[in-house]
Amino acid sequence: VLEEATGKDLGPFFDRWVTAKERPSVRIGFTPTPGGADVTLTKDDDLPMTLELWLTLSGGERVKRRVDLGSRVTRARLDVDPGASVLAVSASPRHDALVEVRSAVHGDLDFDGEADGFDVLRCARQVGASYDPKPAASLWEPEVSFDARCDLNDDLTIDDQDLAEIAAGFGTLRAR
Amino acid sequence: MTAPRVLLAASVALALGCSGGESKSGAGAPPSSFTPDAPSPGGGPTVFLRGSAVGAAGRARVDVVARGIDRDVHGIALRVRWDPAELRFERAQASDAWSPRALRLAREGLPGELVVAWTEEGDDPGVAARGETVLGTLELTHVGAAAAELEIRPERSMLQGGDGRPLAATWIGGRVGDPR
Repeated sequence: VLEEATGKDLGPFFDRWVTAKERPSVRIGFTPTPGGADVTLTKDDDLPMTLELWLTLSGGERVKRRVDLGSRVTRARLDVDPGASVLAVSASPRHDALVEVRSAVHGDLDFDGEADGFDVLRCARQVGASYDPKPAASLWEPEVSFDARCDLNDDLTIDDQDLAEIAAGFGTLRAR
Repeated sequence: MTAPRVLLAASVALALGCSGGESKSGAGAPPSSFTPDAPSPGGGPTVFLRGSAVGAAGRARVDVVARGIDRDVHGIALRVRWDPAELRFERAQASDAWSPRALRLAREGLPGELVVAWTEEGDDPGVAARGETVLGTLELTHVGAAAAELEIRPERSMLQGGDGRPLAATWIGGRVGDPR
């Protein structure tokens, strides 16, 4: 019915979001370029999807760009204002419920392409925290005190195992 | 010791910057001098580098000192740059101000660029740094002939309080090898 009404092939949409049994996983890597960034998006299947990427610029501004992903590896050149430099490339947090989005750099939690002290400090405070769904009254009031990005092994607890994962990538820096 | 803690300890040991070995070029030489960028830091909250009086031949031992911080420091992220033709990183060591449980990470991610994270975990109390408090020590060997800047990158350095919020501080580096 929907295909008849829209005149579009909605098979890929249903394959991705309705009948798929696993949450898709996407890794974001990027290289800053003058006035933009070369972005590489890697996912673990060939099903198409669209992501809204957030580019954080050196002045603190945020630029949003939609990117269509087809095959497992998608490369895109994303332009921003000439003269601006891109500090980080992440996905809109609205995707988090449906897509596992992580940086291509192990231990990089703020998507700046480097694993440094900022990433460690973000999670060290969270050690001992467990996901508690009780405070969530609805889909629109999620549990926000639990930082899921720090739960690298997805066991709903942030502990020394997660910190060890972060420590393993610590010091991975972008070449100057 | 639980398995996760053993795993963490192993990872931390790998990440600690300990290249070891003495500097051949520094054999018989006195410890390298260190000159802070601002010899007398002002009264506001500050993290500065301070030369240590004790050092092996040719080595520069530099303390990372916090002062005037209103709230306890739960963790510090530090990025330091230098010219690798002039200085060679030897090691970084967190001070005893941190609890035994604190996480201690330091790695020269690129030649001449050090990343450090010293932090307490969970609800553990932080380090009081209202007065001068040594958070840790960096040790480098002066392998070049010229003085070398030890530059702190403030945009990638942070003090964090127990509530997760950054603590305001001015960051002050210095130079290794200036004439005494």
